[in-house]
Amino acid sequence: MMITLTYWPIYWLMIKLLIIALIATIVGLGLGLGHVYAETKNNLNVPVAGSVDTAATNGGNSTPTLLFAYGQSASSVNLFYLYANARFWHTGPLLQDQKSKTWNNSKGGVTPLIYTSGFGDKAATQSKFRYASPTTLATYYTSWWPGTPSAPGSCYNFWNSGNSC
Amino acid sequence: MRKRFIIILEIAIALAALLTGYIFIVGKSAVDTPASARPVTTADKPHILYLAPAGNQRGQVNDEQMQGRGATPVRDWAEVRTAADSQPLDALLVDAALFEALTSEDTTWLQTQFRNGVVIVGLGVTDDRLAQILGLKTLRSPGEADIPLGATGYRLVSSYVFGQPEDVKALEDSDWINREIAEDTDNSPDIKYPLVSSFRKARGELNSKDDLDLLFLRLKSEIEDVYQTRQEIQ
Repeated sequence: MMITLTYWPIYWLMIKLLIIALIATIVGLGLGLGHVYAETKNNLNVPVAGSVDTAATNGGNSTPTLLFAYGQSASSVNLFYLYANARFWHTGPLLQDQKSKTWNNSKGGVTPLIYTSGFGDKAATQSKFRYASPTTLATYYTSWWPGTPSAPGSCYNFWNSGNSC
Repeated sequence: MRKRFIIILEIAIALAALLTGYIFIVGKSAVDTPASARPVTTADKPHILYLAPAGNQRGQVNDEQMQGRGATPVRDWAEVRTAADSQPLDALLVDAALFEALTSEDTTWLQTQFRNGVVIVGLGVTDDRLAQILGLKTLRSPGEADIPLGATGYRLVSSYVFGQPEDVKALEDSDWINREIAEDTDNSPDIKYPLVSSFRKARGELNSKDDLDLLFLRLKSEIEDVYQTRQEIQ
C-alpha cells in the first residue's frame, strides 16, 4: 500500500503524458490528411491581361511506387492561348510520361494525370499564356519532386531535360 | 521546478506526437487523388484492340493478359478496321510484327485514328519506326536521351484537336504535332473560336504485372481525357 501510494504520482504523470501524446497524434494525422503536394503560382502576370493566371504542378503516390501528377494553366479571364505540358522525368534522362494540352480562346484548365513508377522520378510543368495573338507570351515553370516540400525543378532546364536548375 | 519540468515534458511529447501524426500521413502522400475531384464521362467499356499474331508473347503481354484487361485480340489490319467501323476505337495496341504488315492504305487510316484521339501503343517497336508510321519526324523530345525501348518496351502516343472545322484545319496545316514534340509552341495559327488540342507520349516496359498496370492506368487516363474534352468543347 505504501509503495503504491508512493508511485501513484508517477503513474498519473505517465497516464497524462499518454493522453497528451494520443490527442496530439490524432491532431497531427488530421493536419497531414489535408496536405497536398503541389507547387501553385497564383496571380501570374500576362502582358495586357494582368495578374490573372495560375500555373501549377500537383503530384502524389497512388502506391509507394506509383506516382501521379498533373499540370495546370488557368486564367480568370479568357485568353487567346494557354498551354500546359506536364512531364515525369527519370534518370537518363528519360521522359517517362508527358501530356501537353493547349486551350485557345478559353480560361484553360488542367491536364489529365500522368504516371510513372520509376524510383526518383520527378514532375514539372511548363505553363504558357498569351492574352491575344500579337501580344507577348508569358512562360512559367512549376514542379513536384516526391519527398520534397519545396519545388527544385521549376525551371526550363529541368522541364526540358530532367537536369537540375 | 519539478512542476515546470513536467510541463515542459508534456509540451515536448505533444509536439513530438503531433509531428509524428503529420509525417505519418504526409510521408505516405495521402493526397486526395485529383481525378476523383473532376467529373469524367467515358465509355462504359472502352473499345480497345490488341493486334498481334496468334500465340504471341512479348514480355507479359499475350492474348489472355490483354483480354483480362479489356483489350480484344485481333490478327490483322482488316479485322482492326472492320471492328473500328462497327464501334469507334478508343485505343489500339499493336505488336511490332504487325506494323510490318501495314499497307499504305492501312497507314493512312492509322494516322487518321492517331490524330483523332485513338491512343496508339506500339509494343516492341522502335521510336523511329513508330514515328515514321505515324507521319512524324521523331517521338523524342529535344532534351531526351536516345535510349532504345527494347523488345519488351512500349511507346504510347495520342493526339487530338477539338474545335470548329476551320480552326482545326488551321492547326493541322501548321504541323502542330511535330512542332509540339520539338517544343516549338510559342507561336500558333490564328484560332478564332474555342479549341483544345493535346499530345501525349509515354514509354514503359511489359515485363511484370506492375508494368501492365501502369500501361493501362495511362490508357485509362488518356481515354477519359479524350471523352471529357470532346464533351466540353462540343
